[in-house]
Amino acid sequence: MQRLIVTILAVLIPADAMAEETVETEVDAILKSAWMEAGVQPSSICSDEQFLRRVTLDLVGRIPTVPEREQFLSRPDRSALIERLLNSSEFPTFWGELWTTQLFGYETSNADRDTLALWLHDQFRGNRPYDQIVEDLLTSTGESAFNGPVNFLLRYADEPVVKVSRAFLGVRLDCARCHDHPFDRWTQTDFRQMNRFFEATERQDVSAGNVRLVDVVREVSAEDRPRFLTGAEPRTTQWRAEFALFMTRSRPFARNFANRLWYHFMGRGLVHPADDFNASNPASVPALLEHLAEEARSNGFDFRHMIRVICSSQAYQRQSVSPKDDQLRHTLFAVRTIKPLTPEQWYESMCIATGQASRSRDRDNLVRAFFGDDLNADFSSTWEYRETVQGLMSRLVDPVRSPARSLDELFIRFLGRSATSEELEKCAGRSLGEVSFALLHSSEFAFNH
Amino acid sequence: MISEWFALLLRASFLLLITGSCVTLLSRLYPVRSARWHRLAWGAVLLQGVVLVPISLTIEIPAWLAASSILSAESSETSDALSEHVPVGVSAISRISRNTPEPNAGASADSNATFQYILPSPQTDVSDAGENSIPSMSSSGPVLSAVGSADLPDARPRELSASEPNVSQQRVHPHAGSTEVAVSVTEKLMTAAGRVGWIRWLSAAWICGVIGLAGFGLAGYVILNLALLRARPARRSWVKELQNLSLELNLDRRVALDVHPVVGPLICRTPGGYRIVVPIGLWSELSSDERIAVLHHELSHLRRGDLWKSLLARLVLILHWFNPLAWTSARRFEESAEWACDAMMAGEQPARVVHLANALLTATAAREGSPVLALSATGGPLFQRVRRLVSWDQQGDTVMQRVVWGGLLCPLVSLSLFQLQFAEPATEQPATAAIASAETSEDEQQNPRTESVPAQMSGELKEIADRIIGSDQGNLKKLVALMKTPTGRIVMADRAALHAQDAAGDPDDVSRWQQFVSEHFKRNGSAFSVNPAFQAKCDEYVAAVSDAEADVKLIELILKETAAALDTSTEPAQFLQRFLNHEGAPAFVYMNELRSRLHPRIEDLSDVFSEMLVRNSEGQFVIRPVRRRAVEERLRNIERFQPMLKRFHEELTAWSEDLADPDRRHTNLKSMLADPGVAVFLASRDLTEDDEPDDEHFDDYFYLLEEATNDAPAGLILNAESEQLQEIESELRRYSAVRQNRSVLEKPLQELIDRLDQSDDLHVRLKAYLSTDLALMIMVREMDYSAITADDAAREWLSDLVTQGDNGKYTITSESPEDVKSRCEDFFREFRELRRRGRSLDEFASQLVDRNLAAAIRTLSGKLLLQELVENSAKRSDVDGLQLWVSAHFEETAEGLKLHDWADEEINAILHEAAELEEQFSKTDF
Repeated sequence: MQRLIVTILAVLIPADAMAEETVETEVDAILKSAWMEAGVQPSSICSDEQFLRRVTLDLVGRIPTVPEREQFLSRPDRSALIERLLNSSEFPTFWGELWTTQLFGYETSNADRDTLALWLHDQFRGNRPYDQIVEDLLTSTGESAFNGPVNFLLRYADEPVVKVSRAFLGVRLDCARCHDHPFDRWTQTDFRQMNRFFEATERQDVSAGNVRLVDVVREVSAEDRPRFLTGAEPRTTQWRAEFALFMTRSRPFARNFANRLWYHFMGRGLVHPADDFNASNPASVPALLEHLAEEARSNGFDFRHMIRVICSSQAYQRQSVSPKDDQLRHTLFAVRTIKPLTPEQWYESMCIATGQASRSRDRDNLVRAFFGDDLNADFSSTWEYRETVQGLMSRLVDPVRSPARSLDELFIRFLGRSATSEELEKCAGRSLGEVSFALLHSSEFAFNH
Repeated sequence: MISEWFALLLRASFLLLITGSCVTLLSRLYPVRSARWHRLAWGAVLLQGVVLVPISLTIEIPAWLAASSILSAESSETSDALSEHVPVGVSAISRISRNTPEPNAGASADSNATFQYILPSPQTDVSDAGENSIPSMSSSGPVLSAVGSADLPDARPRELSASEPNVSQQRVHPHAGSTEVAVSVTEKLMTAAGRVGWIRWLSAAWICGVIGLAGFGLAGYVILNLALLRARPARRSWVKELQNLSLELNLDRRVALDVHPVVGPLICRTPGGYRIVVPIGLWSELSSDERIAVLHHELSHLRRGDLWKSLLARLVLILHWFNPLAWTSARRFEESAEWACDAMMAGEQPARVVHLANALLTATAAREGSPVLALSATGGPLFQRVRRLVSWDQQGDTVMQRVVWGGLLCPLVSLSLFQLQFAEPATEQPATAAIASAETSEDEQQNPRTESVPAQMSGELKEIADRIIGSDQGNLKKLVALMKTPTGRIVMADRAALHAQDAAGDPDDVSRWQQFVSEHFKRNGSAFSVNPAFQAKCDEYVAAVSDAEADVKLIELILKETAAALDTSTEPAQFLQRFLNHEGAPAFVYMNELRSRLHPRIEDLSDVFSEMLVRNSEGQFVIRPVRRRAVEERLRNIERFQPMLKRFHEELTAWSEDLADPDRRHTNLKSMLADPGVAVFLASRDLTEDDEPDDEHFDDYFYLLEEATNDAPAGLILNAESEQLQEIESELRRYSAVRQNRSVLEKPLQELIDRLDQSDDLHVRLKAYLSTDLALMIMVREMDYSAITADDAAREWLSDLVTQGDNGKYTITSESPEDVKSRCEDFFREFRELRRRGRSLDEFASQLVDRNLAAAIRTLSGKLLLQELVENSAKRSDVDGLQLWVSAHFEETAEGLKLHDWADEEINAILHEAAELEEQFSKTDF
């Protein structure tokens, strides 16, 4: 009887009783030691509103709706929110798109981007382990219009090892293309031997927009055989298949996976930039990188598990407000690094805020406007983009009637928070349409913080 | 029936009460320290509550004794009668009950009647049973039943087992006193119950209590699980502690460690598996050693199976909820489990004793803020438990204590558990068990257990592995196991690739031509005739050559005309002039540059449709998987567009009727506007299938018509000077040209439609749409097709290369004159090769029966088109390398695949290769 009463009490006690203690994970413990060593003070835990916006953007690629906000704030269970988002149908859609962009970019002339995106969406929906996804990307054969993963290698038909080593190992092997790597140990021979793994393939044109990738047998002398960076060499004619296993069973593969996920959620990699693991660019918190890599390996490269691990950590939930020149705290993740929304996130969020339906054509236009003509270039280098984007934003927003009836509601829709008295004062006398436009262009809207 | 069950329950409860009282007294008067003894004793007490039906133990008596004994078996008739009235499980005890009151053999002449007094059948009125039971009561007592075997001729004792209670109608040993006491009590209870008549009310109350308590327990479990929803995985360092401890204790079961704001520490079994739940506050306060000690204690529960034993204890409690001793016993039983786990931990790791004691004290101190749920912290008075812990090594009991406890517990347990019976020597061994065993074995052979096949194993390899004979031994066993691994798949794929490569080869042009001739032509002596199956294709070829030759002639004129006026002051220009004058140039220009413009083919059309359609390697056109939704949307839009198109045509017809008819220009326009094809052609302008259709789409045309006409008494008169009229007439001229050359486009479009996949409804709908005029016109618009003659096309093509100056001379205007030169050189090379190969084609043509075909092949464009036809006809056969490997090394037999004697080496080689590969896989870092 006593136990039953206690148990009932346990059910009734609010989840807040867990407080900070319960969300302090191994990740936080490792970071805590790093902060103590560096004499750094972490920022406080972010508010529920901030957490909701942050995690919704990171997991489903848009800001939360007003009902979602109300529902969460009435029972602010952060773990439950993460679970709900992970189980939503938007998660595989956004993550499929996210990884398509990471793996393929926006270029569409070489291969079928959409077929790859559709395949990746299905993989995320089925929660397929990352190592198996990569194995398929590296070893698939078949027609590009029907078999999504072949499009990855078809996209990088010329020296695919450059993209493969960057994407899956975080190694810039292209630096060893013309000469030995200036900051690492990789030589031109390493580059050639790695690239040779992909020489046992053939590209056959089937029809317009449909290319078939097939394996062929290459008979070469022992010294001309491919060689993986670990020193492993193929023993059969199935070079790509062996390469895939050499890679997915290697520790650098796990580290890179962990680092890429960390980068996505934290806005900064443990090794930063995320695709530049080299001797002169060590991880800012090596123990954490190893821990996350081990976590990934021991849990079968389960995306959702890793996301839970990262999003449940205090590190992910820290405030992003910090003074200038606070580089050390950012490097050690004592403060959350802010990151700009991707064009896809921005567009979907804009649709949520303004109450418009999302249209793929408008979305594609916005992406194109963000990146200018050169879709693979760094958009920040094209100074024209801002004007173009602004123009497009205006076009998208102008015909929309104000989705809210009051200023406060407008702030909640766009920024996920109520307006401050100062903001209310500044906006007094302005139409809701004007304020909508201003909010849409505000950095608070355009960044995930 | 109810009363029978209830009587059995009361009997068990009575025995529990007696045993429990004995153990309580013993604990007070002659206590032992060992937790094991406590556990055993209270377990024995609880056991009394579940043994509703005792286990019959038959002791075979010697033959000499049997002969002189009064013991004998009962009749089978009695047994049959019994089985009619009682459930099988109850029959044993029922029969014992019957035995007891039987005063003597003679009195049991009508044994059925006697039995029914005691165990009324459902048809028997309770009151009657009550009356009849009085004599039984009066004669009951520890008296041996003695039914003479002579009276029951077919009686034969059988060996009994606990699983056969229905055949346990044997004699009770005259000295099995305790059993008889119990039986007697049961009988009295039953009789009393029957006499009073309110047994049903008591039963109902008992059932209510059972349901209530069971519901209470179940609700408790559900609430616990709800509470645990708030539990979260513990920190990795804490989990690590648990993992290390599990390793230390050789515990192979997975146990999760969760933290909760208030619940714990406890170990429980939830739908997700075993979990240890600890309160976050307490756990943070404890040191690592203390945490490990508590975990050790909790894991001891798991290792000892305490969770399930406690559940059983609870079930007993539910059955005997009305018995206060049952509550006490369950409590003491669980308490002793805590002591036992403490003792177990202390025995394995004495150093942890102090840590656990400290943890208990901390937990108690923290109880105010963190209610503790489990017995780990509340098991008995804390003082007593801690004292037991710290003096665990002094817990030895004397031999006398053990003897006394053992001596008392054994008879107590046997009181209800066993029923001793004596049987005459068996004369025959029943064969049932053996037969059953044999049947089971046979069943197993017929339905062998299938092993789960690893998902990653490919279907083909699995099929091969399944068919290999002798795959359960030696290297073949290893091979089959290897096939299930990624390494095995790679090695087998390697074998398959090598065999496929050897078998396939790469056909050269000569062998491709020979294959083409042998497939499509029939040889009669030295002459070749076309196979009927190829005739249609052949006719198409001849027609295409005819078209090409007509165009080539026109192109030749233009090329030569340009060559004559070319300024040849530069080397590239000289090369170009040589090219333009070359005999082969017109045919090459036609084939490479102008053909798709003059005679569009399916390839040219598929470019238009490439966004939604794709041709696969089988040559079939399929909707792109990623575009299915878009295609659906397009078809929906087209369907919505049809009524608007109809209205548009009706309105144009009305305009046609409004037009006056003063001259030919008016007549032309009048007739054109009434043509339904015009409506479709005009509507297709600026219309893509993605557009959401609306009537405003046509507004522009009516604006043009309004501007191009003026009202007059006779009707509408054309405004000859207006630009709008010119624009309308231009569109209509284009339509006329399209209508005139419609077949040029319809032919490839029909070919595309014929090759469209028809596997689902969407494809069928698309096919229907593509067959419409609207689809054709939209295609014309998207191709930007306009009818053009070969000479105009040649001029247009040349305009990209050369420009005519004021002096009438042509100069190269291409951005790269060197490129022009290079293209000319390529042409000369290709032409020479074609000329060389063409000689054998001419020879072949001379042997053809079909003169038209022969003439077509002899032309240059005919040779170029034939080359294309041969290439398209060549099929690359897909070779199944794996099957080749299998047939090379295995013999196909009726039983399966039998490895050739000489193929052992291959299997060894594969295994060796796999081992080498595994070694390479072990290099995991750089």
